[in-house]
Order: sequence, then C-alpha cells, then structure tokens
Amino acid sequence: MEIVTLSLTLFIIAIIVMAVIYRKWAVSIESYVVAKRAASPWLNGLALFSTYNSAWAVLGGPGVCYSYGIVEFATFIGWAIGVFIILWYYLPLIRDLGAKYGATGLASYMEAYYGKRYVGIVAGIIAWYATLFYLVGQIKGIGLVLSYGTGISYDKAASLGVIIALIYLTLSGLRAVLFVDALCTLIMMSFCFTSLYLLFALGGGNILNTINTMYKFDPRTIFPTGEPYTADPITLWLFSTIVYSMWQFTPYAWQNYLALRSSKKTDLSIFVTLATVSGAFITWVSILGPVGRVFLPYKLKDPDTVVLEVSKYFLPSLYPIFICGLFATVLATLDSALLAASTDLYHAIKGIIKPLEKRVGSVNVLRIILIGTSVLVCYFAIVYMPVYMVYTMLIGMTGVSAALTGPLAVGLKWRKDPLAAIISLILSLIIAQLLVFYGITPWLTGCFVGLILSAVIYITVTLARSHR
Amino acid sequence: MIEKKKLEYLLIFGINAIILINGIIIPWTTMFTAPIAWIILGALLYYIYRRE
Repeated sequence: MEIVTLSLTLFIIAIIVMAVIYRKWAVSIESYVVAKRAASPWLNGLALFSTYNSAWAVLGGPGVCYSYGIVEFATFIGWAIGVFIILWYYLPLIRDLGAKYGATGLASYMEAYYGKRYVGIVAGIIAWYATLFYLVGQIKGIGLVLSYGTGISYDKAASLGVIIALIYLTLSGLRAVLFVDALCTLIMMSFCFTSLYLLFALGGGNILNTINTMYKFDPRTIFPTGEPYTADPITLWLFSTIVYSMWQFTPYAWQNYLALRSSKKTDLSIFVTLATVSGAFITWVSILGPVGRVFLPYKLKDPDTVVLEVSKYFLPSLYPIFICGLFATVLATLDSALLAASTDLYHAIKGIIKPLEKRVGSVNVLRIILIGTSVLVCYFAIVYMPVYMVYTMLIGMTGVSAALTGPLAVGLKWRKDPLAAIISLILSLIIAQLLVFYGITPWLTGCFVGLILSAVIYITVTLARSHR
Repeated sequence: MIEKKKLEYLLIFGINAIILINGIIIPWTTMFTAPIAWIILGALLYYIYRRE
C-alpha cells in the first residue's frame, strides 16, 4: 500500500508543479480555454489519447467483458475507426473555422457557425447537462481507484480526485490540462503494456495458450455473442462503428481540437494517429475482463473492479503501475470534461452573468462555474453512486453525440440552417432518450435511431425552409 | 501516378475497412493488428503530404 501511496503522491506533486509553471496562461479566455490555439500535434495528440479513454474504457469496459466476453472490442475498435475518418475529414474545418470565429468550445463554435445566439444557448445547456452525467461516472471511477489503491474511503477518494483536478484547472486551464494529459498518456501506456505482459505471462510466454485456455473455459469469452447489446456480433461491429463515429463530436474533446496549432495534413496525420491508436491499446486492458473470469479463483461482486482485482492477484509488484495508470486515465478525462462543461455553460449564460464578469473578469467567472460544476457532480457521485458505470456515462454522451449528427456531420459539409440544427438536435435527443428510457430499444439501437433521425430531420427542415 | 487525394481516400477507407472485417471475423486479433495498421496508415499519410 505504501508504494502505491508514494507513487500517487509523486504523480500529484508533478501535476501541481506543472500547473504552477503554466499559471501565466490564465490571462484571457482564449489562452485559458484553448491555449492560444498553438498546441503541437504531438502534445495535443498524446493528451487526446488519454482524454478519450475514460473510466468506462479502463473500468466499465473490462467489467462488461468480464460478464459477456470481449464484446467491448467492437465499441473500442469501431470508435477508433470513427476517430480516424471523422477527425481526418472534419478537424480542418473545426480548427480553422474555430480560429476564425474565436470559438472556445462546442457551444460557441455552433453559435458562430450558425450565426444565431439561440443555437449557442441550447447547445451549451445540452452539452453541460450531458457532461454532468458523464462526470458522475468519472468521479465514481476516481473514487474506486483511489480508495482501492490507498485504503481511504470512497467519499474522501472521490473528493480528493476532484480537488486535484480543480487545482490545476483553476490555476492554468488548458495548457496545464494538455501537459497533465500527455503525462497521463505515458503512464497509461505503461499500464497497457503491463496488461499485455500479463496476457503473455499467464500462457507461459505464449499468448495463444492464454487465448486457448479462455476459449476452452467458455468460447463466448473470445467470440462474444453480442450480449448485452442484444445484437448479433456482425451487426454489433457495424453499429458500433457508425454510432461511435459521431462520438468525436462530444463536447469534451473540443478544446483539444480548437487548440491544435494548424490543420496542415502532416500535423493532422500525427494528431489523428495518436488519438486513434488509443482505441486499440485500450483493448489490451479490457481483455483483462475475461482473464479475470477465467483465471481468478473467486467470483467478483462488482464486475467494474475486475482490472484492480486481476492486477492485485497476479501482479502485486506491478500493482502501483495499475493504480497510477487507472488514476491517470480517469483524471485526464475528468479535467477535460470539467473544462468543456464549464466553458459551454459559461457561453450559454454569458448574457446573465455580464455584471459579474465586469467586476471579477471573465477567467474568474469561468473558474467560479468550474468550481460550482465540480461540487455538483461530486455531490451526485457520492450521494447517488451509480451502480452501472457504463450506463450513466454512455447513454448521455452517446445520445448527445448521435444527436449532433445533423447539426455537425451534415451541417458542416452541406448547407447551414440554424433552426434545422436546433430542431434536429432537440428532437432526436428526446426521441432517443425516450426509446431507451421506456425500454423500447436497447441503448445502442436507441442512439443509432437518434443518429439517423438527427440527419433526416436536419435535411428535411433545411429543404422545407429553403423552398418557402 | 495516382493522384494524392485518391491515394489518401483509398488508404484511409481501405485500411479501416480491413480492420473492421478483421474485427468481425476474429475479434481478439484486432488488439494487435489495429494499432500496427493505424500507425502505418498515419506514417503513410505523413509521408504523402510531407512536402506541402
């Protein structure tokens, strides 16, 4: 336990030192939120690597794989295919238009692009609200990891994680976030490679032995049937690729997109490759789910803890790497999501808070919103700890990213129509959530319906209005 | 000589389609094939556009 606490403390000290070094970047909203739009593709891509990978990727995903086999491979690989294609074709547009309009996040970008204030207000509030749910899942992740690693209680661990993120977020904004996230990526990579090492070690140096043992135990661990998504495997892979393609429009990575220094194809290839490979590396961790089911001599009460249990049982000497890696991954997503949610809310309520802004300055207003949002999500994560992490985190975010198909995937490449953007965003989001909430369709199908509806409604309304 | 744009299109959609099919047929192997394929794809794209 002491080694875990020591390595975590060293990591936290490094983060805070970085924040103090970069505190001068918090002079204006432009440098505080998008780091003066001058981040190198290497740093930014590495940061995006760990921003993309959330508590779901390292705890919830392996948890699902523990119960149903490597079914989450479909979502990780499908999502990464989407990262490559969507980012390659949309990022130049997002980055360059963002710089032209001075956009600082999803909401301000949409408002500037569509030229109407109401678009920014609606998009900002929806983005903030959806990110809240996502953040609750992240904080559960941080609470679980820290309480496992150091032995302190879940409540204290969750609050501690949020306080650490808040320290460097309020001090220096995105510049510190990029460095912390890049550092987190390096720690996460060692954690991914350790997982791979375990896979080899369990088969006596040959990974095929490990796979064979798992196959003999239950063929479904290696060839999943498509549960719990109630789809056959082929449909699941195709669905995941399509639905998760739109995941790239989720609010929490927009700061990274807007902060990229240029949209040259060489910079783009570095940035996109770094961001994409994370999807493949995280499968190395999620295969620990079925490994836990086959090789652990006892059954787990909470499948979400499988990675922790596997590392504790098989690799006690490398356990600190696992804990630090998990902590780094969740922290990297938590900080970006907190910053994105606060920026979007700040943009949506800009009109109301103008007097306050004049008195204390815009960066300080953003800091107040950041602290308020953190307290709110921390309260929910502690008082109403979500039982199924995957559901809390994904339904909201996947739903929102699917609903953004019309306004962004279609709207950015085709005609722009502010009213169509808002109608398609709100209607598809409501219908998708109702479908899932009333159990009419499984959630992945609900999100898929939302995605199609969003595109169809956007096109229909745009055409109808242009004919008038 | 294939045009750069066509080559880019072919590479991006070709390699990603191969990864997708690989995943549908033998899911567990994508943990090795996908990272290698994407790093090669990124390097090739960088190489194509390095002089611009």
